[in-house]
Amino acid sequence: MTAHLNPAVAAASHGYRRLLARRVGLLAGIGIALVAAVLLDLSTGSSGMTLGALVDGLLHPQNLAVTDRVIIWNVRLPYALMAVLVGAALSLAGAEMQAILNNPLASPFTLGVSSAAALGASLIIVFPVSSALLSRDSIVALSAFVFACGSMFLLHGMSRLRGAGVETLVLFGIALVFSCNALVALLQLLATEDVLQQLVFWSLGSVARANWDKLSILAVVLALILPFSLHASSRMTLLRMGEDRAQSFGVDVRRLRFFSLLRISLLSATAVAFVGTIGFIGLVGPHIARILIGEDQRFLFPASALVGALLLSLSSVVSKIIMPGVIVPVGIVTALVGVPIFVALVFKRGRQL
Amino acid sequence: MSKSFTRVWSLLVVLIVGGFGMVSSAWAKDVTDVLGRVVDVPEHVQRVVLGEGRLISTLAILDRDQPFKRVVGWQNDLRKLDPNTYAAYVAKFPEVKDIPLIGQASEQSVSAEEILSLKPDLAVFSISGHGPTEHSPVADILEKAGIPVLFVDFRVNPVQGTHDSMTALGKALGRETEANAFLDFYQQHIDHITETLGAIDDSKRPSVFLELLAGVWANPGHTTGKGGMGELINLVGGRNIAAGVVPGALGDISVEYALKADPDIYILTGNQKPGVMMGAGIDQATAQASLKQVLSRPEFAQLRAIREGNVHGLWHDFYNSPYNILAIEAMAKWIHPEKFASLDPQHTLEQINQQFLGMPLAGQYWISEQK
Amino acid sequence: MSAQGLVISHAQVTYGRRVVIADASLPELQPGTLTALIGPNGAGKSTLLRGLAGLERLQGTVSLQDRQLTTMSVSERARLITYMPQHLPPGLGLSVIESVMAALRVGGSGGDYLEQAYAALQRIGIEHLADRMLNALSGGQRQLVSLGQLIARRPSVMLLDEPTSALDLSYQLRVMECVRDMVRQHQLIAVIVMHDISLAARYADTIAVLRDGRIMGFGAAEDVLTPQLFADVYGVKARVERCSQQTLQVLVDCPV
Repeated sequence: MTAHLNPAVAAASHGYRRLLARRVGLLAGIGIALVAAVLLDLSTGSSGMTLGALVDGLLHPQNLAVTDRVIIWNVRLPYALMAVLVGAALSLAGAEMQAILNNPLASPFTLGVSSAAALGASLIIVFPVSSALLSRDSIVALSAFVFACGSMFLLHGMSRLRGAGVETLVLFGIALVFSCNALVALLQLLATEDVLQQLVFWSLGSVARANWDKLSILAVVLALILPFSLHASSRMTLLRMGEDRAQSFGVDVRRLRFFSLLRISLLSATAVAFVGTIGFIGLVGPHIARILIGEDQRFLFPASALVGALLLSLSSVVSKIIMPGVIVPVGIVTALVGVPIFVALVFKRGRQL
Repeated sequence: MSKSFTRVWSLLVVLIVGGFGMVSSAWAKDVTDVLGRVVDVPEHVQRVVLGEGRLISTLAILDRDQPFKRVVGWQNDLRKLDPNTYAAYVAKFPEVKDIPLIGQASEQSVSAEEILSLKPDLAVFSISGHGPTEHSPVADILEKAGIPVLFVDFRVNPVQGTHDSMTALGKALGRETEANAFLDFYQQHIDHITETLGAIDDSKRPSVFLELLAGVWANPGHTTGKGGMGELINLVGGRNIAAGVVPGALGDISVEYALKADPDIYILTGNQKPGVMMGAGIDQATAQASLKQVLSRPEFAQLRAIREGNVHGLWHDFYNSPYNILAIEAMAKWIHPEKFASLDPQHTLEQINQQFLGMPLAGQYWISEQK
Repeated sequence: MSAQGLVISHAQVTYGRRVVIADASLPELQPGTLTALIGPNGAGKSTLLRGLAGLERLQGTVSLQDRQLTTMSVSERARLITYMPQHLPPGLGLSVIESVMAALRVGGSGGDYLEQAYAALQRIGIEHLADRMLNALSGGQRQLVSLGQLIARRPSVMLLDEPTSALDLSYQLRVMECVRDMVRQHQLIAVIVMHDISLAARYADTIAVLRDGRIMGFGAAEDVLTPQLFADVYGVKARVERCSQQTLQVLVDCPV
């Protein structure tokens, strides 16, 4: 780094670096909280298996009873990891959505991704297609994913026809949400009772549907997309100051929005296809991150991902312990967990929203 | 060695080897469940988990003296959805209150880990309803842990399902004798119905509107379509007005459609307030009063069936239990009173109580409206 | 003869079927000059500016130093022209210095962004606000930050849409002073949409008058701001009078 000849500049540089250091510290802090939440998640469960017993089971697999092995490898580990990955994916997608729509009420589901995914899954559940290659579960997830991504392309195509700004995009998205929801409701009418139960089951999100295949796919998707999100983050920061301003500074806003929507769709479509619709995380995760870390998207994106993972981890813990032996669907719990944290932060930070 | 010693020794060897052979082939057995799955069930099933608490009705027949002996975990749907029956069980078997819960009353609430921690030998799930069903990830996890899962059905195809489910459960629990005895009784009564009815022309079938949990739902018109109770209506010579309209065993029809269909007979099911009070521990006066109350709902108050006095109440949970034979007989009498004049469902209930149940069914399980 | 400055010729902007800018042409705007764009509401001033900034589709010719702007890519154009919209930058959780640095980072010219940003803040006189968060600043201060973003980028053309309308008098003067200094010192071209004709007359080298999408007048303040123009364009009886070396006053509805 070049030495600053000007002491005033040096002072400003010092101030700036302190700000950055504080932000990095906050990120680290959230990361540590996340690790603690995951450990808590791994140590809760109605079998009473403690964290120590779990770790022991990992280190000395030959001593494990079959039931305990299944609890560790098919219940605790997958559920906990799924909560982390889904929470991170949805919250990151939410942060991007709030940036490109310039709207604090936006979530990854605003433009219809989860409604389209639900439609895709419902169609396959009501009109099953059998395949030798894929399990039924995989086909449902694939259909959900295809419809979710397809909806994004449809949206993009429609908005190009009108030479769209953000408002047009949102209006088309809302139309898509309502249409898909209506079609799903129609399918429910046509369904026999057992099919109906599957539809309802699918739509209520739950990390209890995790398995290692789904985890690997989601991990890969997240790992591939995060670098692109970070690359776009400086331009996103400018976009937050106003679309016109950003464009005049050289940000190609249409391209930025298109690729961001692509990332949002991939992240949320994958998450929804695997665990169903879990709301609230994608909306409130970025907000909590923003209160803590500010509007520099280079920090806000990773912070959102970490906060989202933390929220869903904690929700997973709560969903297991509220009623012994019974699981409360995690989608209900996310609001119970997220709102107090959010409100506490709002009061603490005052008017800085 | 003396000859007798050799003889005794050989006999012992044969007995021991033969005995081993018998035991080893009997360590596990194949049971075919309702979905056609061949499930490997251990020989002595001591610990059972019920995906739906209401499936206890099967164990009440198979383990008649101590139906809860083998139950190590169940869902809470019995307590929540049929509290009178639950109370009756608790009165006789207080330990019922302490049976660990594996879920509330829905598929999403079931905890796989809880089931695993109970170390069951067998899990019994319904193919549809309030518990984990065929595609549930819970079933996958249990299978990975080597816990056999048996699927039963009393809802979707009540008659065939009763037969297949009781057979499978009987074999799985080592109670084939009890199961067969019940099924013989069951089949005998079914045959009597079908023979008495004979071939019947559609025009001779009275139209029937069977409203499920009448008065409980905000929107009236919750009924049965193809399968389920609708199948039973068909069996006893009635014509379900919702057949062909409601696609599956359960569904809703509009008030307008019900009024236009103008059913000859109106049957309401229920088991607790705010609907029709029927089932364990309910007396006739309470049942009648609640029936009258539900009938006062404005939507259906003008039905011809009500004016002509063809209104009846039925215990709701017949739709998901092997006791559905009683519902069949009660409905037969209502729908074709002349043909089934000699049918006596009350007597059938007493026979079931005497021959198959340790804790009798005591209460008002069906009722006709008094004018 | 090659053009040194900004040439706008037969510019046209339409929204659907509505023609907002009909046929706007201006004589070449020379480097080192500040042009005020005035006119009644709905004349299309903002639209014209946005068209020049590349935010609206503009037909016609716009060129800078003989380079066609309308065919340039977003990033190329951004190196030459910057645009300050009418609305204030939002009160975000960003510090002042990093707001300016963010503006530099895109299509960045490299170098120490912090130094360049700080230098820009110094020019405007708000360097003491460098570490303050935007959401802790007043509207006027945020407008100055916005200006800082603009000048940090060292564009050739600055387009400002009503930069003073939301500000009190002291901030108004500060903004205009700063812009004029930049223009003179670095030989930039500035086009500023303004409502305050007196302020325009005070700081602008040339004034362009727009009405119904057409240029009604262009030139030095005293030449353009004739009573005839006031009557035609604003429908108002007015004239200008020189009060001092710097100040032209607009007198409305006074007998001559």
